[in-house]
Amino acid sequence: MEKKEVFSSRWGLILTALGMAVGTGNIWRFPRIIATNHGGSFLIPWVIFLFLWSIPLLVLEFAMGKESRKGTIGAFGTIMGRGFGWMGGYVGFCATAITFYYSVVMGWCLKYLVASILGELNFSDGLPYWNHFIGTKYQPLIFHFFSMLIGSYIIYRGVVRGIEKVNKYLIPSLFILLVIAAIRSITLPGASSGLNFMFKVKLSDLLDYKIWLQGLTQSAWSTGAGWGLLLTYAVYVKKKEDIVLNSIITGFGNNSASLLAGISVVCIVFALRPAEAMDLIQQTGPANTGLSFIWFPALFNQMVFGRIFQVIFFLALSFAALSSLIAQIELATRNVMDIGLSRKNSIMIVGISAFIFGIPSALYIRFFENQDWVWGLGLLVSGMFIALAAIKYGVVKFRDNLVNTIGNEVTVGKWFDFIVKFLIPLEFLFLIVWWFSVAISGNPRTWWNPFFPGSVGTCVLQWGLIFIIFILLNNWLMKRNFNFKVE
Amino acid sequence: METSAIVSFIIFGCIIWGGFVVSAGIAMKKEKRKKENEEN
Repeated sequence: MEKKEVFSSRWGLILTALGMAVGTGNIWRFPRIIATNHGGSFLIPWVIFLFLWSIPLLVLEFAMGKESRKGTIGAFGTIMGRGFGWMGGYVGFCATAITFYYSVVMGWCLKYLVASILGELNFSDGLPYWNHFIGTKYQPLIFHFFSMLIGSYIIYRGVVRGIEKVNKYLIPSLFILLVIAAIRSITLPGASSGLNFMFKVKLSDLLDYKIWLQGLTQSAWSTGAGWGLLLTYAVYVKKKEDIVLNSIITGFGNNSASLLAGISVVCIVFALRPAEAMDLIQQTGPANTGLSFIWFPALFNQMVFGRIFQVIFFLALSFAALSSLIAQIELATRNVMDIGLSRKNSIMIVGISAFIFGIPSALYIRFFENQDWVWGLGLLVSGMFIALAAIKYGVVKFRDNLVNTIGNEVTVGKWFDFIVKFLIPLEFLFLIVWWFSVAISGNPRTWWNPFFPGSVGTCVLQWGLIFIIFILLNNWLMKRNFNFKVE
Repeated sequence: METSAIVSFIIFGCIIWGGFVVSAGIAMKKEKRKKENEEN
């Protein structure tokens, strides 16, 4: 029987959990969402949903992983019963499907990091450079390969010597880079207009329902809550590890990074291009890359010592990407290990598969956008499944037996039951209906078409296929996970 | 920078960064105490 590793220290665990949560979305998505959703007013729903979606789901995940000591499939089998392992299969696959194209994103970050070091990003218009890079086809593929190689090697080294050790360096460095970038950006002449935009709250903006749905979406995607990633890391925690406080630190730490990144990006854009600041920040560009890969390199060229800050920016982006990528690879590896394979064999399977299945996203931006749409939205289903696991177990029993355990410095009360039982399902319902209605109104003729990239049909088809596959495999998976005969 | 933006910056800064520092501080303090207890 496999002897599981345990995080060597609490700080190792916290930094690893932060690494899981802080990703490229904190740096490139958060500023854009602020810009398209009334600036400072957006911060109110964003903070509220940290408490009403992200932290409760992080607590649930932590408790499930710590109790079951298994990956997503085994955890659902333990908490909900052997008939529900397929739900963990879906949660695990969803995060793994994201790994396939997230590795491509990390490849882009690495490419731009190398280019910034070599001084190749000395242009005033970033679009031709981006188009050339993507158009070569082999370059995104090579950088995708290196991303998977680096990530897989770290996972191969194990929890303590690989994941924990790397995050102990990556996360403090990332925060230092973000602080340096924020200080530099707010000291630029004209940066105050950016700060005004980012922090000025107008209460009337809160009457717009979209600001609430975008705040919830950002909170759901950015913190990593409901992905099954913290559940996986919780497999390796000490018996008396604090569940609630560690989840709170993870949530706050993630939003701290977002706020720093938001200040840096917004202030730089407002200081250097005041006339077109709003247009620039709101640009999504191909695969939402607009600001980070197309405009930012050019903006840095306008700054004194801009090249140094160009390197700092892409280094921070690469660190954020790597720390999240290794969490995703570990999730898939843990699930494969649970069916009886060694870490070495599991990481070989996961690493090679993720590289192969990431190739279409590396070569075709339209495919990338389809996967980002399907599995990004699929994460909301994952979050709902995790809440359902607690509801099926019994929310009060879950809180008493699995959350408020020995070793906790902070415990949760009855309010937690209300959030898990009623608020999270309600939030999920609002979000899924809204995103589908956006897809339908945006593509009234093709919304049902499963082969149209941003349609409802493509989500239903791909989710449906994964549901069917894991339901069919459920008995076998449970047998392998629990080493017993399933009736 | 406008006064209302400064006030809002302080409030959000206190909630988010303050929340992070305080929660991490509590964990650090408890961890230190746990270590001291183990040594004794």
